[in-house]
Amino acid sequence: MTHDDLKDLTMALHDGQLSPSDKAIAESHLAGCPECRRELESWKRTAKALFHEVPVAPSEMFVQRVMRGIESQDRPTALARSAAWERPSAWARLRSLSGPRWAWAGALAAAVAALWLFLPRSPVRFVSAEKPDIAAEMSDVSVDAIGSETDGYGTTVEAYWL
Amino acid sequence: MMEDERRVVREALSGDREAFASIVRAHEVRVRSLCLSILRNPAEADDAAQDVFIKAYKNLSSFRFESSLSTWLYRIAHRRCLDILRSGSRRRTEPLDAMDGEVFQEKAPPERGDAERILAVLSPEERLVLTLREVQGLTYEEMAGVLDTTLDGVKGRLKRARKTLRVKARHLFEPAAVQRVKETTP
Repeated sequence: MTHDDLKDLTMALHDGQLSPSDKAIAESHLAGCPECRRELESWKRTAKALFHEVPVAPSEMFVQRVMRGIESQDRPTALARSAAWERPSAWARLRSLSGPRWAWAGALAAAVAALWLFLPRSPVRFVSAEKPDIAAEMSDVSVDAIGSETDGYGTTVEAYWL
Repeated sequence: MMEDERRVVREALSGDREAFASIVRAHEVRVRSLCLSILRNPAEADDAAQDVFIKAYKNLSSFRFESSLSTWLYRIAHRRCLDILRSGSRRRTEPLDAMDGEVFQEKAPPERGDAERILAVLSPEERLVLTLREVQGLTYEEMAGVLDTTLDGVKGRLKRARKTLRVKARHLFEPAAVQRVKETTP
């Protein structure tokens, strides 16, 4: 056993974690090694000065605080479910907004218009290949074929951007 | 003892709030004491301890009785305290020192008067391992359970933490400095 091992053993002795045989070895080493004795004494003083337990008294108030914390964590989900019907309608929420109502309504209308103008169109319908003019009549805008496919009855249909 | 623990845990899992309250009652002193020893601020320690029990409540179904309930709670507490120590948004620690009966004299030289400053040389992990051993008096085996490591792992961590304290704070461990701190400790 090296001197470092024996030093570790003396610290384990301080920790009270040695078997009877190791305890005897550590005590015997300490008796003959001033360096380890000094180091152990130094550590004992340090530990006593820095690591002291502050007494904590049992507290029913703390227990109740924990239980309230648990209840409040459980509650939001239950409340969210039970109170859903109590939520204000969209119109009620709009009415509750600060500022003139017409301004909010105008902003909403402008947003809808912007969406309508700038979002890409999707093919609105499939029109029979023989009658692309019907699609043109219906939309008053140019009609571009973007694809075709065969429907369930064997008729070829084409898709147009309207 | 273990059987009682199993029964209470089962009751708590079945939704019996009073059963969980009895778990809190049985372990709150040790958990709060651990948090206080590490965080050294009573209000912060109680907040942390509350978080520990709430987390334990939420994760009770994952408790497999592989360790004692107290070791499991200590493990949660150790992680919570480490998070707080690492977060860097700590509250001031003076309240504990004040509660200790003015452990550190006001007129002490700033470079050596404050236990908090001495302990600051330790990493959160080192501080925690020394607290578990020196304050809470856990055995190596219990520490292995809390720190989720082996017995050799515990010994290695303890050795490194003690060495850090000795090396980095050597100037603070002159007999006079230690004696002064000791004299003012209740």
